[in-house]
Amino acid sequence: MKLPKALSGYYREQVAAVKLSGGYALPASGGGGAGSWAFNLAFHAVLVVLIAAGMIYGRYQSSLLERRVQVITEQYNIDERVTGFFDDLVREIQNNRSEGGTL
Amino acid sequence: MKKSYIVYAVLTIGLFLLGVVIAKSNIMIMIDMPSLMLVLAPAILMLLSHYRPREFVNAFRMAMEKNDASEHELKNALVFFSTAQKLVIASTVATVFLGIIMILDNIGKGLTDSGKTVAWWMAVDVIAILYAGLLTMVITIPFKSALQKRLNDLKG
Repeated sequence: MKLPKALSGYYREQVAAVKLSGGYALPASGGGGAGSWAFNLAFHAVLVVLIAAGMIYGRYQSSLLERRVQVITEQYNIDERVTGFFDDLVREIQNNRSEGGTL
Repeated sequence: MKKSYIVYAVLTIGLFLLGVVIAKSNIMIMIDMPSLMLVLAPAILMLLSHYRPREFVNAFRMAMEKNDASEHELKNALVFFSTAQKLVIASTVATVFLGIIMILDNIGKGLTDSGKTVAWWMAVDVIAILYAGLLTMVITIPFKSALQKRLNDLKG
C-alpha cells in the first residue's frame, strides 16, 4: 500500500472516531415548526396583510378620536386660529423690525 | 418569565380600561389602526432585517422559566427585546413628528378641509404614544427583565 493512501485511510478512521456531544440540536432538514420556509412565508404574508388592512381601514374608516378632534377643531376654528396666530406673529416681527428692533 | 405573566398583563391592561370605564368614557376612543401600524410595523420590519421569524418566536420562548436555554441564546433574546423597545420608541417619535409636520403643512397651505387632516394626524399622534407606552410596559420591559434575571441566575 502506498503511503498517501495509507495516511488517508488513517485520517478517515480518526475523523470517524470523533463523536460530537453537547452541541446544539439541529432541526431536521425540511422540518416543520417555526424555522421552516412555510412559517417564514406565512409570517411575512400575515404582516403585509395586517399593515395593508390597517392602513386601508384607517383611510376609509375614521377613528372615534379623530371624529372628536374634528368636532373640536371645527367648533373652535382651531386650524384658522393657528393660521391667524402665525399671521400675527409674522406681522409682529415685521413691525418690530420696522421700528428698529432685532427680532 | 412565569406563566402568570399573561394574567398580570391582562390585569394591567384591564386597569387602564377600568380607568376609562370609571371616567364614563368610550373604550373605542383608544382604537386606531393606522397608529398601531405606524408604531408596530416599522419596528417589526426593521427587526426582520436581522432576525428570522423563528428567532422572534424563540426570543419569547427563551424568557419562559421552564426551558434549558444557554447563556448565548438568552443574551441573543435580550438583544432582541432591547432592539424591539428602541425601535418602537423610534417609530413613535417618527410618527409623532410626521404628524406635526403634516398638520403644519396643511395649516400653512390654508386648505379649506385642513380640519380633517389636522384631526386625523392629531388622533394618530396621541394614540401612537399610548400604544408605544403600552407595548413597552406590557411586552418589552417584562421580557427584558425576565431574560436578564435568567442570565443572572445562570451566572450566579
